[in-house]
This record gives sequence, structure tokens and C-alpha cells, in this order.
Amino acid sequence: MKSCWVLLVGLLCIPAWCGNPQIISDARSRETAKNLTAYNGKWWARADHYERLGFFWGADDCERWDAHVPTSYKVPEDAFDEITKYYNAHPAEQGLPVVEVGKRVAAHVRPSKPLEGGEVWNNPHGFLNGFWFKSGAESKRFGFLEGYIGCLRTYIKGGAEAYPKPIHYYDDKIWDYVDTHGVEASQEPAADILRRFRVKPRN
Amino acid sequence: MPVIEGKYYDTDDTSWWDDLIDKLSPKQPPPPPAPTPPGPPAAVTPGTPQYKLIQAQDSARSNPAFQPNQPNNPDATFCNFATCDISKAVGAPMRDLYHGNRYALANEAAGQLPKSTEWHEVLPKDAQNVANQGTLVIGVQPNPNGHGHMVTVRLETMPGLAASLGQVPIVNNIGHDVNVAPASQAFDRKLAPPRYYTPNKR
Repeated sequence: MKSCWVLLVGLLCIPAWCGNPQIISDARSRETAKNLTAYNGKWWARADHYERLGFFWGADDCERWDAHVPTSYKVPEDAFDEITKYYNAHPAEQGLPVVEVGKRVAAHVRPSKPLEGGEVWNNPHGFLNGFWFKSGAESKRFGFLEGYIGCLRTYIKGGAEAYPKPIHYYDDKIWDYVDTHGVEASQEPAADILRRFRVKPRN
Repeated sequence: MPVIEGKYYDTDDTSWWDDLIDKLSPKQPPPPPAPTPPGPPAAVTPGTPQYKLIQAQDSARSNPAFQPNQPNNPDATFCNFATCDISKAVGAPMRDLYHGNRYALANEAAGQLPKSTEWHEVLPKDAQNVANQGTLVIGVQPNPNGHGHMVTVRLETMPGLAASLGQVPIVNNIGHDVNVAPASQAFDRKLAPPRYYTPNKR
């Protein structure tokens, strides 16, 4: 069922400017999340637009609602090219974390005027709920988990121990949970669903 | 050497037989004219309603202001803005897409469109055909416990393809995702099904 959805998304998505989402390879899906600082220029170069966006959204979600630290998400997606240009212009800085380059680049990106009157999600974790997760492209989900778990590992005590399994494991668990549960699961934050599958600390 | 109608033919030339058979046979109808090659699809022909609808939808999808969850506008999605801008661009009636002096949110539009005198409901299976003619169709799904969602139906460049895949209607989806996708993917299947509306006047 899940592979059908992935295929359908690949066939029918006609994104505005980002190309088609890439399929995460078996080797990559077996990776475990790293600290946020490990996501650097090399990672940026191999990630597609959706994985990059998912990463920033995941990191931002954790930073705002769990870690309560300033957000790393500074560059709007239509300015992601600026991050690419930075890495291209500074080959010696490929090891610099994406979140750091994002901050540097954001200082030069002219912010657009926010649009008033949209649907504003004031609940914790906003629209990043089960339905959002299940309907998203694989690479965006993968990026979200890299960013979210990466943030937990970076800022939350016990974050690394709580999520030791490959990213694909958590992707499957969340997807299946939303698929097999009712409307409450589709409206529940993806972060809260993820938490159901953590390794609980032994007291 | 036989003489037929004053013409001389070689005895081994059988074409006089053909002429004779032609004369004795009933008159044949003239061959049909060669079929004219099909024109370009209406969706890519400037000036057609299909082209206008597609242009409006493409423009909305690529509008940076409608992208979700931007750093300077976190937790915001713009399905209502996108739908209303597309509607305005194709000249659809706007009264029931406003709530006061601002664009209606999806839940508000879901309440207003069923009572509208300018819009009427179409079945999901008909929504694709209506859109394929270049007529705007709005799909809207209310959410009693949160934000609803609204989209416009995307016309097919190959009419019938989506139906053959069991995926009608295809929608121009702008919300937490921005793509062209089957409605079954754009709307939450755990909520009440979306309803589709098209203007009374085309």
C-alpha cells in the first residue's frame, strides 16, 4: 500500500519549481538520524528540495515545541539556492552544518511580506500532523525525521537513546499508525505519533 | 487492334477492360477527404477557457507567498488564498468566497457555498468532466476540529486518464503540500468527503 502511494506521488505530483521528489535508497533509509550539526554541505548536495524542506521543518518543529530554542529555519524554500551557492562558493566549508549556513545566508535574503489571512494553525506543531505526514512525499518525510530526531539528539537529554533505529523504521511506524487509526491519528501531531515509538528510558 | 471510343490500345493492354468495367459499374462515391490532423489540446491553446484555468492554477502553485510554513509566516497555509485567487483570475463569482472583507477560510467556504445562489454542487465523478471543459470547480472539505481544506479541480491534458486510473478528480492542491494530485491524496480520507461546486454561469 505504501509503495503504491510513493509511486502515485512520483507520477502525479507536478511541483511548482522543485522537480519530482526522489526515492530514498535502501542504503540511506537504513541510516539513523544524526545530530543537527552533522547535516552539512555533503548532505545538502545529495538531498533533493523536499528532503531539505522536510529537514528544516522537522528541526524547526522540535526546536519550537520541544527543545524551546531559537529555530534553525531561517531561509524560505524559494531561497534554498542561496545555501547551494554558499557551499559552491566555499568548497572548504563543506563540513559546515546546513543550519549554520542557513543563518549566514538568511542575513542576505530579503524577506517577503507575510501574507495575512491564510489558515493559521495555532495548535502545537501546527499542520505537521498525521495526515500531513502520510500524504507527503517520501523524501520530505525522511527529511522531517532527520531534522526532528536530529534536533532531539542535539538538544534533549536522552534524545539519542530514545531513537536508535533507522529513520525508515520510524517513517513506517508513523505511516502505518495513521493508516490504521481513525481521524484522531490523522489530526495528531506527527511528533506525538513518533514519540509512541521511542525507546523508553529504564528507571 | 481493338478500337474503343476512338482510342487504340495494344491487345496485351488490359486497361480497356478496367475502363469498360468502370462504365458498367454503378457510380462510386468520391473518396472521403483526408482527415484533418487534431489541433493542439485546448489546455495549451491560448484564448481557451482551459488554458486560462491552467495558467491561473500554475501561477498560484508557483507563487512564493502561497508556500506553507515560511520562516516569516510559520504555521500558515494558503489554500483559501490560492483558491480565491484562481477563482478571481477565471472570472468566477466571488461573493461566497469572501467572509466579510477577507477571503473565506476553508471551513467558512464549506458553509457558504452550499447556500450560494451563484454556485451549485457537482458530484465528484462529474467534477473532472466539468473542469476538463475549462470551467472552475472548487473542492472543499470542512474539518470540525481544525482547519478545512479547499482546492480547485485540475483539468486533464489527456481527458479520461485520471478516470481510467480511478483517480478522479485530480486537483490543483495548495496547502501544506503544493502539487497536482488526486483528490484522495489532497483531502483527509478520515474526515467527511469533500464536496465540489461550480459557478452557475459558465
